[in-house]
Amino acid sequence: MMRIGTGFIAAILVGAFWGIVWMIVIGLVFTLFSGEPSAPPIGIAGLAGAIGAMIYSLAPVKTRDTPKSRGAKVQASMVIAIFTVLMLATFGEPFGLSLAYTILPQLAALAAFIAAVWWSIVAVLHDQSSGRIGRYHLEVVFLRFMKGLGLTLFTIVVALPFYVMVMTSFKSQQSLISNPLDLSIDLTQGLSGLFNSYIELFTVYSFGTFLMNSAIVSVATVVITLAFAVPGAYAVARLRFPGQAFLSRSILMIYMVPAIVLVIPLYSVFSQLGLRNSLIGLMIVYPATTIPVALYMLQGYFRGLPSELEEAGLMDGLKRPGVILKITLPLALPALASVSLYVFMIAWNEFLFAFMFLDDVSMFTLSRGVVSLNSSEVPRQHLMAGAVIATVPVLFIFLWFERFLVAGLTAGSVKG
Amino acid sequence: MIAVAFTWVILLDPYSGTLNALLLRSGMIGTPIDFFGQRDVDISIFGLTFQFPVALTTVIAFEAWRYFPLSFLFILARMQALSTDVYEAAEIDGATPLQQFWYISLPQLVGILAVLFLLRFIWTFNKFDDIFLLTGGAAGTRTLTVDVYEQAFAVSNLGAGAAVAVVVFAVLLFFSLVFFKFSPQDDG
Repeated sequence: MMRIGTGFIAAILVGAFWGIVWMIVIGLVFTLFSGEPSAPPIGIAGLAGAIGAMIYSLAPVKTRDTPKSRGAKVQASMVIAIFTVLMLATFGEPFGLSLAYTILPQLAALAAFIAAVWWSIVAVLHDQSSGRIGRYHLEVVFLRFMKGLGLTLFTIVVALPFYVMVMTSFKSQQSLISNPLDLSIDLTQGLSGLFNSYIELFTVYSFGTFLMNSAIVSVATVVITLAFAVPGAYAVARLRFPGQAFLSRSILMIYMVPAIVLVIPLYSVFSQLGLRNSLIGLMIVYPATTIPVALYMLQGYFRGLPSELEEAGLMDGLKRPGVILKITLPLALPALASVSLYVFMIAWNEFLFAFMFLDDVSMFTLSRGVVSLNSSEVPRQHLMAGAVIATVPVLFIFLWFERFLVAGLTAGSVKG
Repeated sequence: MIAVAFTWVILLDPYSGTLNALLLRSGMIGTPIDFFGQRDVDISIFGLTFQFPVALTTVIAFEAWRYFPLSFLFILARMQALSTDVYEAAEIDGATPLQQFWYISLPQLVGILAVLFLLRFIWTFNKFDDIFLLTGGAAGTRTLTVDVYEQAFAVSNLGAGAAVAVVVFAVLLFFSLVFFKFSPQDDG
């Protein structure tokens, strides 16, 4: 039985919006993958989505999702309706391009569009009738739509720059200028052509040295930071001494002092000490900026450990260093892992001090090296290849240890 | 990290950038927009003309893009700690999803939102790398931190640079005090 009410109107709106959203998204993706400038017919896509949603909405709620009975028919007619409306109203050019050329990508994009619209309409409307639905169900429909929309938009916004970064690094200078939209991989130029920018970075621009420098500085920073932060955090968390509360608070305060405030005094002092143009100088400055963070994160974790275990260790004749080494640290291993990763990432990505202190190309860290590529003489794809080289190690480490990192980051620091 | 800053610069480049090419080809704009180089553009609505700052808006968009995941993590961690009993009770009483969010979730999130607001404010206020790499402080985006660099190293006047740094530090001190005033005391 067909009933027409607020549910029906909501269904039409949902269908139209999904049609528009997916047409824009898939048009964009299609353009970036094929290099063909599409002109997505947004209005028509909205109409097609609305008609599809209308058909789905008017079918009986109980049977339309069961493929055995009437469900298959309802959903098939919905897909066919979306396809027909889109093709008829655009005169057979669903993306504003003639189907005669780039036929395969266009067909793939068309299939993706119809599947996406179909799936989203079903996901939003699957248990809603077309009759009068109250505020509760209207909000459910609205929130489901917003959830999908939000996920789609965030994915694009986050992924697009990284996609552009990686794909640009594989292009050649001519193709970048002739068609900035074409971000597909050109396999005809062979592997050496594809990785041309990377090869050049490692041979001509000595990125191998930069990579090595960054690795040395970052690892040294982690080791030095932990060597100071572990005893410090333990003292703040466990020992009773005058000024303990003040110290605990001032750690965060130091963390908030911006690097740019410190860079001028450090610049003049390090110049006079001869530490400025050296990796040793960076190994002094980086731990100084990361120890407060590490201390703060660690002390939060140490506080959460049961102190009975340590007291038992003290009773059994261990000294404080022994307690820390044999009891506290093994218990705090997850926190140590997350703190080391965090510190490593800070040191790896640090730019300001490396930029100010290092003049010698053989001393450059990766971020300093990438900045040196940002000039009009160096082709753009080299810059992007440098950016990829700087990102990939951190990305891998992060993906590997993601679980630790997220938990440690939020648990050890500010609580609301 | 500087990689993403350069990616944005290349993505938004007026001549070889993907975004401008996309907007041009789809006919949404007539001439390419220099997102990081143009100070402002005149926009007239109903006969009223006002200047819309282009470079500044782009820089703000970049900062928001760059740092929303961190806030996202903190808010998510807080939300996962909320008790579900209240929502079940509200559901039985007929509260709609948006009402549940507005009257139950949001009041419990106010604390973390305030902390995040202040922290992010302080950090962004002190941020040097991003704006320096994106615009170099040109086109109306010269913040105090970029000014420190410009005074001290571009103009080679360490004294003036240090003076600006002191101003930055004073402002920071003030906001840090506000932060410690508002941040919850129960954590360690």
